[in-house]
This record gives sequence, C-alpha cells and structure tokens, in this order.
Amino acid sequence: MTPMKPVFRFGLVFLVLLLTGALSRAWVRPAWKEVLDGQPVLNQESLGAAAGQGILLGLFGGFRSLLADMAWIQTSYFWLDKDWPKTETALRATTQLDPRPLYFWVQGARILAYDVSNWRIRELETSGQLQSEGQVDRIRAEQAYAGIDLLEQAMNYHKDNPRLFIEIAQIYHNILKQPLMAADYFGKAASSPQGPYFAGRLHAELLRRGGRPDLAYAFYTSWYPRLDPEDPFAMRPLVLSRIRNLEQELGIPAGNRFREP
Amino acid sequence: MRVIFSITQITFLEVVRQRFFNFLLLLALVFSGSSLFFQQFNFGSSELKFIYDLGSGTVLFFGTLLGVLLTAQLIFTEIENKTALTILARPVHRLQFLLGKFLGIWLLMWVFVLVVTSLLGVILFFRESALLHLTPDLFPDGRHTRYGDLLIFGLIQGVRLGVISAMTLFFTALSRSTMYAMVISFMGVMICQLQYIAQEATLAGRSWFYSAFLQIIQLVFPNFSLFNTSDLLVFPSGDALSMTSSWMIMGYGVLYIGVLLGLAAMIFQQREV
Repeated sequence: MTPMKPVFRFGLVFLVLLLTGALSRAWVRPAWKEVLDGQPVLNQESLGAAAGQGILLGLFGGFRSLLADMAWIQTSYFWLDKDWPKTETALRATTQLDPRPLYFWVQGARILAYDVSNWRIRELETSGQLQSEGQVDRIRAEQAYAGIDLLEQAMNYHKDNPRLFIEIAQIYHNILKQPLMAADYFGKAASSPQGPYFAGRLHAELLRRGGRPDLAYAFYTSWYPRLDPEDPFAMRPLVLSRIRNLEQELGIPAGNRFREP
Repeated sequence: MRVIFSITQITFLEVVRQRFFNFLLLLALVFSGSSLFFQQFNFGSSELKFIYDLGSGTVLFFGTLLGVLLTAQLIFTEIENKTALTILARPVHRLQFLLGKFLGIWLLMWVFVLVVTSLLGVILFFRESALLHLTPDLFPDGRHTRYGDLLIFGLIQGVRLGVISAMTLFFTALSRSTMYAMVISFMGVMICQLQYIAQEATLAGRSWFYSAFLQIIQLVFPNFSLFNTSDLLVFPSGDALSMTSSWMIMGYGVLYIGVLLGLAAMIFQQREV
C-alpha cells in the first residue's frame, strides 16, 4: 500500500469526522434534547462561577453533588468569618456546580439578603464610614435584590416551586417593606402546584394591608370555593371570617355579599 | 476472527494482571462504598440520591482514567517491548491487531462498569431497606430506587468508555510517546465533554468566522455530554430517559467507536512499529 501524504491523511481524518458528526448529530437530536431538558448541564456561566472548585471532576458528569457539598462547606466557612465577597463567590460556585438542591438556593438567598447586608453595615460602622441612614437602606436594598436575583436564577431549575416564591415574598416584606410586591409573590406561591394554603392567606392579608382590600376580597371569594373542606390546613372558617370582615370594611351591601357554595 | 479473539483474550488477561487496573478498581470500589460515610457532608440531595451520584461519578471519572491510561500505555508497551513486531510478523493484519487490543480493553471496561455498578446497586438496596425500616413514612409507595435503570446506566457508560478507548487508540496511533498520547487523549475527552458549550456559544452568535469555527468543532468532536444520563436514571426528578433515547445514545457511541477505530487502523497501517 502506497503511504498517503500526511496532509491527505489528516484531511481524510478531518473529513470522515466531519461527516460522521453531521450525520449523527441530526439523528441523535431527540435524545440530546431529552438529556438537556432533564438535567442541569454545566454551561459557560457556570464554568466561570465554579472555576477552581474542582470543576474538572464536575466536567466528567459525576461527583457534582459531592463537589457542591464541599463548595457549600467552604461557603459556610467564609460565612462564619463574615467574609462577604468570598461567601458570595463560594455560594455562586455551589449553586452552579449543582443547581438541583433547593436548599443551596434558599439558604444562599437568605445569606445574601439578610446576613451580608448586616455584615456590610457593621463594616462601615466599625470603619467610621457610615454617614447616613440612606446608606444603610441602600445596602439593605442592594442585598435584598441580590437574594431575589439568586432565587430568580433558581427558577430556571425549579420552575414554579412555591418555596422560591415564598422566599422572594418574604424578602420583599421583611427587608424592602413592599407589601404589594410580597403579596404578588405569595399569590404566585398559592397558585403554583402544591402551593401551601398559608401563602394564599398571606397574599390576601398583604393586599389588604397594602391598601387594596378590594383585591383581597376578590381573591378570597374566588379562592374559598376551591379550598378542600376536609383539609384542616385550608382553614376555611378563618378564610370565611376574613371575607366577612372585608365585606364590612368595604361596605358591601347585604344582598351582594358572598354566599357559601 | 480467531486471531482477533486470541489477541482480545491475551490483552484482557494482560490488563487484568496490571497493578494499575487493580489499584484503580479498588479505589473506585472504596470510593463508591464510602458513600455512606461521605453523606455526612451531604446538604442538598436526599441520602439515596447522594449515594447514587457518588457511585455514578465513580464510574464516569475512574472509567475515563482507565480508558485513557490503560489504552495508551498498553499499545506503547507493545511497541516498545517489540511484542507488537513479533505479533505483526505473523499473518496478522494491523487492523486485526488493533481490533483485538481494543476489544480486550473494552471488555475490561465492561468488567469495571459491572463491578462498580453492582456494588452501587447493593449499597442502594441495603441502605434503602434500612431507611424503609427506620422511616416508613418517607416511602408511602414503597422503594424509590429504579434498580432496572442501573443496567441502562451501566450499558450507556460501557459504550462511553468504549468511545474513550477508541479515541485514545486513535491518538496513540498518531503519537510517538505514551505521555503525549495520554495528554492529547485527555484533552480530547475534555473537548468532547465540553462540546455543548460550543453549541451554546454558536447560539449566542458572534462573528460568522467564530460561529463557523464552533460549528466545525461541534461536528468533528463527539458530544460526550450525551452520555451524562445519570440524572435521568434511577432517581429522575422528571421523566426518566426513554428506551428509544437510550438506544440512540448507545448507537451514537457504537458509531463513533467504529469510525475512530477505522481511522486509528488507517493511521496505524502507515506508521513504523
């Protein structure tokens, strides 16, 4: 057999691989879609966030849980030291290494929204750089939105999970003092599959406190017939009593009042 | 055929006797078996899922190491010790030689996958039984583990390791030293593993030149992420991997094994042994 010139040999290798790739890619597309849809893969963003965290092991598809757990331990270590830049970096690495556990997202958002803002404020206090209350509010808002941002990222992996909506609602309520936004998210939690009943009640109560008793009444009256009478957590009598209170508050005439189905 | 079978048999026995294989197998078994200890560090996933993740990671990681290191080392040992020359001096075609070597290594990969996956199955079974006894409320519908999926997982990983071995064989045929072959093969595996990032970058759309380059990368290198099906099996959070897709993935792997072996044979045909 006459030896092939290296350039032809490599050209042939390249061509064969190119053709195989072109033919097999179209053929295997449905399986690839199934694999992509069914699990979080490491992408450009996650590679950046998780760089230096033993990413090589993660690349092989295994050990993601273990690596993420190790990264979480590291996050906790930085958290104990109140080192907020490192805590945030390690936290992002954790969630990118393994975005499947809800625990990392929820705990991470709490760290960002509640703990980091306190650390930052204390840092400024200690160094004598804290000049106004406005500065404190700005830091709290920045960190609250950082927590909300993390939880919204979590929704890419945990679509319509009521726990995420509830966590966002709590940040809006506890830190940002925006009852209507909190009400909106509690409402989303209540209407999501397996959303807890208490989220619905909080949604309506926050609407009322936020100056929209009309919306609270509309929600309660449409929601009440859907509450399971057998489930004690649904608390139908309490909901009915709130409907009655709202009717009084809104001055609804007796003839137009809600009637139990 | 008999020639190929003989070479396969000899290669298999030769590799089984290697300390390196036994060491890695032992390490993989210890790692997989220690999942019960490692779960003390587990925060995110459920206990059984964590054990499974660790076991499947062991197959993927140690399997990749074995596939690259053993294949490259074995071929170069044959060439350096001149045993390849002795074999090829007989009426043995180079393709038969390569095929026999590959099948021997691949058979060993299957043994590796079988041993580690079986151990994983046993650990899952005993731990799940214990949990069923301790916390029956958490298992209202009986066992959670889909043990049959372990077989599909093993088959897919077996084929994946075959592709890795065939790719290493291809790079070995091109290389002049063991170290070079190993390094290039590992880099090849990494590129294949990250291939989908090229897809992501292509979709992001930059210059046409950059996109064309990424398109070529996607076509030339097989997509190893396709074999990362462990999340879709045993404890799937949504729909489990369908049988059609499982066969498709295995078919994809077998196609690449054939192509890479063919190319390795073509190059090996023209190199001095």
